[in-house]
Amino acid sequence: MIGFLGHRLLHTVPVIVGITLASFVLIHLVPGDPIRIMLGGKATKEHVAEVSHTLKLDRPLPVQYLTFVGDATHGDLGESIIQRRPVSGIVSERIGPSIFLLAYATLIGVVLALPLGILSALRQNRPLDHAIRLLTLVAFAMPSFWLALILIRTFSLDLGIFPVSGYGTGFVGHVRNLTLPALTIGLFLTSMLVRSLRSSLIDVFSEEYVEAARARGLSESRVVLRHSLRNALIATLTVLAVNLGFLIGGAVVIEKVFDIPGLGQLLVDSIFTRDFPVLQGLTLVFGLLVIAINLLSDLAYAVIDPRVRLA
Amino acid sequence: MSNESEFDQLIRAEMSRRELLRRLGLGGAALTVPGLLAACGGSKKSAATTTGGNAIRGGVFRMARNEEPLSFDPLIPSDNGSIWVLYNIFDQLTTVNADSTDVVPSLAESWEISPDGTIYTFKLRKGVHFSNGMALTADDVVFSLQRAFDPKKSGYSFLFGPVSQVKKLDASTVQVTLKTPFAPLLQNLNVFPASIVPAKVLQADEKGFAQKPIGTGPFALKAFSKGQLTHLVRNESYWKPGKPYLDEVRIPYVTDDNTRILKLQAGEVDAAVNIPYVQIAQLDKRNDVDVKIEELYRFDGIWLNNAKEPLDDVRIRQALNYATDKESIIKSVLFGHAEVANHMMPKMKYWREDVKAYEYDIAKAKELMKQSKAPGGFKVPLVVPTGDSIISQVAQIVKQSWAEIGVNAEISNLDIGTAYTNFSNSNYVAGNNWYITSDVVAPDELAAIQFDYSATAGTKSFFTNYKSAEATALVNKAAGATDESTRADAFGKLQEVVMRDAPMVALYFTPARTGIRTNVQDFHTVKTAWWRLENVWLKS
Repeated sequence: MIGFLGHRLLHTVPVIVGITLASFVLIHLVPGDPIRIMLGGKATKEHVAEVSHTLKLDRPLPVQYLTFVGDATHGDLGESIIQRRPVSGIVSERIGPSIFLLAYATLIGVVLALPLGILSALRQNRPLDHAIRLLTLVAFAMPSFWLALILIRTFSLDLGIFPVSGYGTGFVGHVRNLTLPALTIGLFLTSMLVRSLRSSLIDVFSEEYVEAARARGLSESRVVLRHSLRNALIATLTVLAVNLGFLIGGAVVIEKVFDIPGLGQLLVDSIFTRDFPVLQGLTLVFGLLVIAINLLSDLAYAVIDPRVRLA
Repeated sequence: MSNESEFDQLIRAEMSRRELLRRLGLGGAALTVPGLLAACGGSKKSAATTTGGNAIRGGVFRMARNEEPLSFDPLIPSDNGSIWVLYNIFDQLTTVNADSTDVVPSLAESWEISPDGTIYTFKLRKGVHFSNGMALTADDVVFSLQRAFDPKKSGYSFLFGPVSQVKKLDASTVQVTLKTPFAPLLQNLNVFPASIVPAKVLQADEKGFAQKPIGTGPFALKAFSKGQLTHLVRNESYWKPGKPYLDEVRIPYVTDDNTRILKLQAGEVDAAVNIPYVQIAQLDKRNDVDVKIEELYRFDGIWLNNAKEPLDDVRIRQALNYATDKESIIKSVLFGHAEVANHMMPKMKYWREDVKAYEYDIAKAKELMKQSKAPGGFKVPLVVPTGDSIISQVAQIVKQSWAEIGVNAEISNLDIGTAYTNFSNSNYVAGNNWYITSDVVAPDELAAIQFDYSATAGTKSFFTNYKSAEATALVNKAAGATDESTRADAFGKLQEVVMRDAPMVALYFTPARTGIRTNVQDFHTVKTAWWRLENVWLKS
């Protein structure tokens, strides 16, 4: 197992270098001067030059990139141009809410998707299956900001159960505040997971070993949960991992509607203000998080399926 | 605030003053006015907000904003997110008066100006303390002003162009010497970079100060969590007796328009800024919420690069002004909440009502096009910053009306960073920038930035590249004059000149739109767009 992990980790080094280099080149190809944006149109040329010098933005690009890489290896991500604070501090403030939200949403998604997916597969092409598929289709097609507003109207304004927006304080506060946004994302995840789980379960049900298990007179629950589900879960886990990787920086709309101080909003703000150091830091963190999610899902494969461990 | 100005604000929300006068003339005051009052849902509720008098002390005021601070060092930021909070933490030597037309004493108790207008002697207020308990000294004032006047440190040093020296005369007297007379000095001293900071605290840890500011203002920063909340508490050593009324001010950062309004409706906040025009009427109908419409020093227009062919031809710029249907934009996009601009800058002191705005007149526009260097029309890229739904809608209407005179506006969406950088490099043709606001109550700042190509800031007539010896002379004449009539005269002429030369397409003057719950009393937006929350109190 350790060897398996070590091997996986080694593969990530070139990926990280690739990600940071590509993002560095891309962001500098786009026109836009962070100093101008920060200081506003009324600032004098002298002042712009002075600030640009203080922040070392007047140095050649390759030098800037190499400095970033050098500093990053010992944990220094530089300083934000706009906020004038260390990037590591800015990013670490935002990472908690993002991960909390995603974990909560994943929990909701998995808890809802497992029974629905299994039921749907077992009742293939019957009314219950059609109903579940229709519901997941609706959940998938609904724009998330719209669903979010409907949830706020219902649960916050009319029923007064959850706050309209914010992150709250303390664990209970976070849970209360993040329930509606997690539900918004969770319903989206549910729709993806149910559809994937249903189709892989249906495939597995037609396998010979499932028929063999049934023929030997094993109980239906044993056939489904032990023999079929484990094999069907691999594909569903992949779907989950891909979506989580995307959502870690892509939940901007949800973060905006619910005012969650997460990474997505920070990413968009930093792009608009051309805050290069924060962008660099963020891409690095996103890269690491996506890799971590993939590693976790690889580990989960290995737990679920012994063949992965041996390969 | 007098009843009259309250009434004015109310009217402005519904229609222009001129239209009101016309109606009054036709229908008689007694008949028309009650009708108007009934038409504006907020009126009955907002009447209560001017009572003042027996204010209640205590309470937490929560105000949702779509902008948040970047830095609390008065010298660093240029964004409204920071600036408007700074005005509640810091004081300057002068502060804005009740109707935002001039400045009145603040940390300076009084001042004397030498007869030739070059020496300003400020008597400092006694017994003023910073929020950490330290007493304000003349050294703090000298240090703060020197920082603000230094072009290498301050982005706003151009506001103090002719300053040559700042010195302490005695423990409570500070003197500012100018090379040449400069009329807007007192007004410009109210700008946020000239906030008075405790020299020793700031020098000890300049970076730390930007996160833990210490000022003499009504509130002190208790905590700031980026992306979430700015938390202010009463400055217990504030120098105005009895003020502020509020114990705490919590400003949550809520970027989404709908969420801000929902929070206001749910009572999670007491105020929400920047209510979208389309939702004003609906929100104002509620019994527990009132939308305050307050005039701002803001000018909305379509910026043109006068250095680009064929926009270098004044007839073309005039034609574009005539071909722009302001009235229907105001009606359909701003739901009536604006006034057609008869100036190329905000409506400030010395503004003249009698200067004519460009009316929507396609025939006149066509005539001008015929005489111009591009009689057959031309293509013009019109840049819209992405994500701004108001500007997108305006651009669509403009495109249609310009097409009638053969001008093909090609709308392109650029992210705000790109649009802005291209703009400040004069690398654009039209659009990019769509409005400007004033940081000070004197019109000199914007007049110099917008119409004096050679102004020290080097902003090339705010990147219109408009070069006019006449306008430059008037701007300088006004700034150098020490008597009111010369200034009024120069600014009045300037308005005529820039309206004639049309460096931009003038659109309209738009107001601040703040949703407040009805228990909030004496909330007021200063015309320079910020709010001083020391007067706000909450009715139980």
